[in-house]
Amino acid sequence: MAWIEIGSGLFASQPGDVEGPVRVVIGLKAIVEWMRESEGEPSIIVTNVAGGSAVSTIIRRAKAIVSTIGGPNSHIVVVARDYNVPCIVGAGSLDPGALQNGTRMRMRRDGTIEIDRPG
Amino acid sequence: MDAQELSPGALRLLRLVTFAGAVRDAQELVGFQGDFASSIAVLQVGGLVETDPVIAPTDAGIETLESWYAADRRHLREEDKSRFLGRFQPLDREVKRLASLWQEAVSRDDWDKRLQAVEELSALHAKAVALIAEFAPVLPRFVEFSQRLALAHEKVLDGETEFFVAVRCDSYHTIWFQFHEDLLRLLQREREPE
Repeated sequence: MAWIEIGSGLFASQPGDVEGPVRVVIGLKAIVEWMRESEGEPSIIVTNVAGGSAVSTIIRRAKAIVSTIGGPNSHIVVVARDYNVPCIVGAGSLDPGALQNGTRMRMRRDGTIEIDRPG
Repeated sequence: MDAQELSPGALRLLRLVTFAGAVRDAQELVGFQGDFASSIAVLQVGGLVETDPVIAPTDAGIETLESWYAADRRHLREEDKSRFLGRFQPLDREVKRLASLWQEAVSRDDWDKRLQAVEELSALHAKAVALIAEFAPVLPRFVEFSQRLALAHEKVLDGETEFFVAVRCDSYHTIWFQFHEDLLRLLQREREPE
């Protein structure tokens, strides 16, 4: 695999190396769409929220989560810690629009976020 | 369907489902007290939620909820909105800090820090209850949050410490975030950047 760094943030819950397919979930409609799909391999969710009840909905079925906003005390971090789900927040340098669902993503212990660029 | 036609239970359920975005079942809706089956049936018949394969608000449901908030909002003066939010936001930051402090104390098995977090929660709770009581004449609906927060606080003091932060129960943190979400929708405000 050819891992390329695409951004970084604060690894605020369960820091460690995590790898999985990426799924971009931006907005409530995207949550519903994602939940309608049958469950495959758990994904690393990339989102732009850090608060609100929707955070629990996302984290419950995520392998890990990356938010472009938020800090160490954000609701998303508290919920992720409670579910023992790895969570990076404040990844403002990451552009969710440039990500394709299903691409392999890797979260590194130091908060670096990488994707696999085949070939 | 007009929001005024809904029972308090059905309206509460519509709010919680909309806040969550989508849920698979009643277990995922922390804080809902009432007859889930009959409330969801009313919402489904009224076209306000879909239930297959997940429970989610329809566009009509979102619209109905927004019109309900709009009616609620009409009673509020701009100065009341700003004053309430100005007092709420420091408490909100404090709840987040205490939730992290508690989780850190538990993960490190640090009993001094646990005690400190509970003491600080009690101080914060007194301020939260006072704020809600002060604004009860213009925001009477929020008294319900005060009652739920008091119950969670009491449980923490009684040693049921999962009621501090845990996501799967009606913990102080869970209730606070529903309160926060309700407030932001009512006041049509965005979350503070963190």
